[in-house]
Amino acid sequence: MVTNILIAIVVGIIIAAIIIGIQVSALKSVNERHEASDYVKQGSLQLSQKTDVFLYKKLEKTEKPQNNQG
Amino acid sequence: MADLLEYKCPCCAGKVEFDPNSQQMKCPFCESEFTIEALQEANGVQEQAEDQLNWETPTSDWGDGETDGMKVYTCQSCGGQIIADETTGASACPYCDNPIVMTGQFAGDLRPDFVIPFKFDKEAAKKALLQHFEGKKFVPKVFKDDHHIDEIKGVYVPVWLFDAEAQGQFRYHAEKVKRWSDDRFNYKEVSHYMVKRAGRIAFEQVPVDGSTKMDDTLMESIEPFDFKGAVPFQTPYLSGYLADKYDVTAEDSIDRANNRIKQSVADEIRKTVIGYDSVVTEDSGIQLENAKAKYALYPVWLLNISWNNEKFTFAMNGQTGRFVGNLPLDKSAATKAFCITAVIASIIVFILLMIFNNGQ
Repeated sequence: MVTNILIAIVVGIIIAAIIIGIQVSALKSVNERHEASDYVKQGSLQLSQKTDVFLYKKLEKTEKPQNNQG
Repeated sequence: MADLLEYKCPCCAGKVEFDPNSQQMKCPFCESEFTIEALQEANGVQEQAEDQLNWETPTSDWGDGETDGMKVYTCQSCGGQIIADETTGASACPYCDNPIVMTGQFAGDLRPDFVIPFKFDKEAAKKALLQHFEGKKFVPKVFKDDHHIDEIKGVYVPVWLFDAEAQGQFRYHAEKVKRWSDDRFNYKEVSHYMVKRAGRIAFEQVPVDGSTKMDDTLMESIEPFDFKGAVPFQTPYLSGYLADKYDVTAEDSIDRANNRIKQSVADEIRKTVIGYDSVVTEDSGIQLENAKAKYALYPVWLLNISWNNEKFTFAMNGQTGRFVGNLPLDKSAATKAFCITAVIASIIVFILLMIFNNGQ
């Protein structure tokens, strides 16, 4: 019973934080621009080098938990 | 590429040696094997070439009689100089809302090369402002009611427009992951790749705010401006609007344009690395060349609202209608709403848990 109450309180706080957080962030609309993607000249991208070289492989094996019967 | 005497293992950075048994390069520390080609690619160094920046800056002068109708207005408070028609009804500074006085005839300075005329009129700007307030929670009621929307002003903001060609060279470490299982084991195979890209991209009319009074971040927030709507500058366009004089030189604005351009070069070239589950940039070099700067006036609707000893500025892109402006937060209203929401959510979760537990 007590666990249920605690879980309910924590989840309730998280839900409220998300909802209120979204509403508060809607108040801010002024942001710096770090890129100039709107000003790229269309079709001007020309790749002069395109190399993809395979280096090495690594294999990880993890044993599955076995359900022992009997 | 220079011949290296020592190759670093791409996996563990140890010194890789030639292994006669496998006839491949082998790392004695982690036992990984590589071809010589792969190692040479992995150890390649990006040469940092210099920017070839020969900026051409505008030098056009005013024609005879062009500036006759233009007067300079000085703001009593921030000292800013605004240019306007001598018939303008404006009496307040668009940036700080204090009175401006006509102080003389406009003369000298650079003539703008281009102007983007206003596409949205004052009525449209006022409507956009009211829409901006709509649906926003926790804005103090007093703020929403007590505003002077009629004082919204159309201002031509001076901008420097930069054209440039950029070259970029990038080296990435990429991975492909395969997972599968059988009866006893889960398998995860990670393949590692060295990826290199180099290319050129051209940029046109990257704008940088040329006025110290117009907040750069605010100006960037209402972008983009479409240069296709620009026309060669003529004085009559100023009629009915205020214009700001540039007080930041092209040379001082270059850094901002450069940073944005370089970021976009990295982004666009990164987009060509496809087919991997993870990509990490290891090294990069970007050089700009053939740079040109132009001087233009871009249209912005501006409004300042003072509240609680703070100034809030709202701006609308006069060409596209994009509206921005940070709104104040009523902290007590937000806290109250948070508490009520948390209580209601907790009760609902509790009821659900009780139903779920009793049902089991």
